[in-house]
Amino acid sequence: MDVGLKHLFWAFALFWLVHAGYLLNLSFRQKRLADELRALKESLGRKGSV
Amino acid sequence: MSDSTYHRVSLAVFAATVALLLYAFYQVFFIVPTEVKMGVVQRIFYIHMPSAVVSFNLFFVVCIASIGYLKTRRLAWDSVAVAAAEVGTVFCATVLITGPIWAKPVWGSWWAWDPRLTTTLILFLIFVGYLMLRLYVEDRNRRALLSAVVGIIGFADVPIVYMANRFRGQHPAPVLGGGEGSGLAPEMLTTLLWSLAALHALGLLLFLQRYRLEQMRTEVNELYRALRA
Repeated sequence: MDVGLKHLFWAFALFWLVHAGYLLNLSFRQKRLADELRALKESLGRKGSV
Repeated sequence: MSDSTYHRVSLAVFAATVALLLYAFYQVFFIVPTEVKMGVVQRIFYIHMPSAVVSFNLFFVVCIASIGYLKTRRLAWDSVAVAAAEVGTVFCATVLITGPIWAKPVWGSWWAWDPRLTTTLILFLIFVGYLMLRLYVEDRNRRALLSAVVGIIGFADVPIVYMANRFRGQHPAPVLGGGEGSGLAPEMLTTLLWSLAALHALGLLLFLQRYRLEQMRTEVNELYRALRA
């Protein structure tokens, strides 16, 4: 493979890997917080009804 | 912003980002002519330079939000600042990754301690420091105050990075607004503008997601306080 083409491939591949990885990381963090929020709201609801 | 408005806005930004990225990459790989001296590797320019511009703009948002926090002490400003700082750091990382990959076949080395490269590395490290600082300060108001100061100081490096290649060094002179001899062929300029639009849309999408995360975190902390009360 042409050296330039190889470098072009890696630049675009790593660029996408970083951004896709970050987007995935954000969605995992959001999911974890959403679960935590749901659990907290349930606990507060139980505390309120006691 | 209510949950349903947030989801509608996110979906619209996501659709616009995908459409713009597809069109920009179509331009980069099928329309723009190959540069004569560097060959196909020069196409890295269309992600390298727009990534730098997006990171500079996000660090500008950090600076404005930090000033907003220092003036009003409202934590909403701090949420904007941290969201912009994290996404800006990710874009700055891609600048530092794509730059050396482009430099190797053109300069013959991955890295040179040239003013533009060095100041960009310093900018990246300042904002990595900003994000690390936030991990180690427990109190939210103190964390916001210290981060605001670092955010403003960090942004001061952006004009230095911008001006760094105008005097000396290996990094090419600016292609836009670089004075005599600067400029791009019309097809290259069109492709660059599409790439700039696409990466700004991507930056906005990531910023919105990160800001949403910060809002959720605030809500979780408030609920913990309510539970303890």
